[in-house]
Amino acid sequence: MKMGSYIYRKSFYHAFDSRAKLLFSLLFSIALIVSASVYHALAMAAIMVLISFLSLGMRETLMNFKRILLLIIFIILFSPLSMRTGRPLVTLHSFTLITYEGAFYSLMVLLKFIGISFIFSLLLETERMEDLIRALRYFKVPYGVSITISMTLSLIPALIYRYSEIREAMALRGIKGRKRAMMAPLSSLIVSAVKMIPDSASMLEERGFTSKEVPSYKKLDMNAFIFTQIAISVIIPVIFIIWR
Amino acid sequence: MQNAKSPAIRMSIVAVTTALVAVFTIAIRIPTPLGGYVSLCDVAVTFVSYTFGPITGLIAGGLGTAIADLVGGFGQWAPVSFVVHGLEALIIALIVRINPDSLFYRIVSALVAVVIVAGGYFLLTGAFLVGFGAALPEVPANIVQSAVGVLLGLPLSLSVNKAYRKIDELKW
Repeated sequence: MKMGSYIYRKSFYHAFDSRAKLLFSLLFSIALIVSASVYHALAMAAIMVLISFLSLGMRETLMNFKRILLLIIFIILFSPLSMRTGRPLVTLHSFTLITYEGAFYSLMVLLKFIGISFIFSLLLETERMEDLIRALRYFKVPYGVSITISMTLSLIPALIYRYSEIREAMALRGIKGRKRAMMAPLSSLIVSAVKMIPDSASMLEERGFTSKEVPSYKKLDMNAFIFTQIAISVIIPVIFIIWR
Repeated sequence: MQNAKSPAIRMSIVAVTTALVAVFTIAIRIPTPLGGYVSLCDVAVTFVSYTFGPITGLIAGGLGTAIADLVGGFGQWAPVSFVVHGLEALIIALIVRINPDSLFYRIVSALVAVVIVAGGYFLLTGAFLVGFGAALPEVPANIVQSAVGVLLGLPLSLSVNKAYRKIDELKW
């Protein structure tokens, strides 16, 4: 079971501050969504693919394409058919199959989708989850939300391990039959997880948890270099939003 | 005896149920032609909504599926999953809360859940990700996933409530 998508490299995008990267990803996605021209969307998608190539290499960039390949094929096949009005591009006898407007719309959808997919893939492949949580906390995401996310992330591997243990135990006992084989481990997993709740609540209280903010042992610094990175992360998408 | 109103226990309930939803989403996945996947997330979402109510359901359903998308390499779907499954959990819990023992309300909640999941994914992925033409083939897979989810989620919540009676102390 693969948990997380972080890929270790020494690239400029890896070295970019997590807060700057988070802002850049969010604003660049907005710029792509509001994009109104093919050249604009093409430029943005090309930038993301180029960043992926420079920071992760050809193999991982192709893997990112492979992950969305079927959806790309579906967009090419189905999107042009969804827009029926406009100048005919492909006709079958007297029936208009694809219009110029439909082809243009599909190209826009395709470029936007590739761009957004690469933004998210790059963010998660070049940044560790704990650094992203720290970045969220820096941007004043409520303490309760960030601690819930970190508790959840630490519980997921434990629950997956518990689930495999339950399945193995049931297999050793010879519990068979499709319905029972599926439902029994799931209900055991839920009971096992629910039993963790009082213990984790006690643990939180013993560590001084209240609904108020508590100081973190590891905080993100701010200096002129990081400020410049954050400024760049805002300026580039804003230029694209104005240009659109 | 736990105090279900304590912030620590509420936080733990939300964290554990969110992790459960994420595990149900990650552990069993069947790829779909669109590059997405069909999972058992709706089983967990239904269980959490029936058992812990609308607020826990909303957070656990939305956050759990979004985290599963993020850690599973389907990051672009995370905002859509957050909205759709969060809303699904909230509506299921609110409908069942009208009369928790009524089979009629459970069936209504199941039907509404199917409409929310299939319609929500179609509208949001169509509008923001892939266009409505390409979002359409995903609809049958989402209908099957949510229908199987609510059908399994109902007996699962009943069997868990039967197997672990102390769960009532944790409801809020």
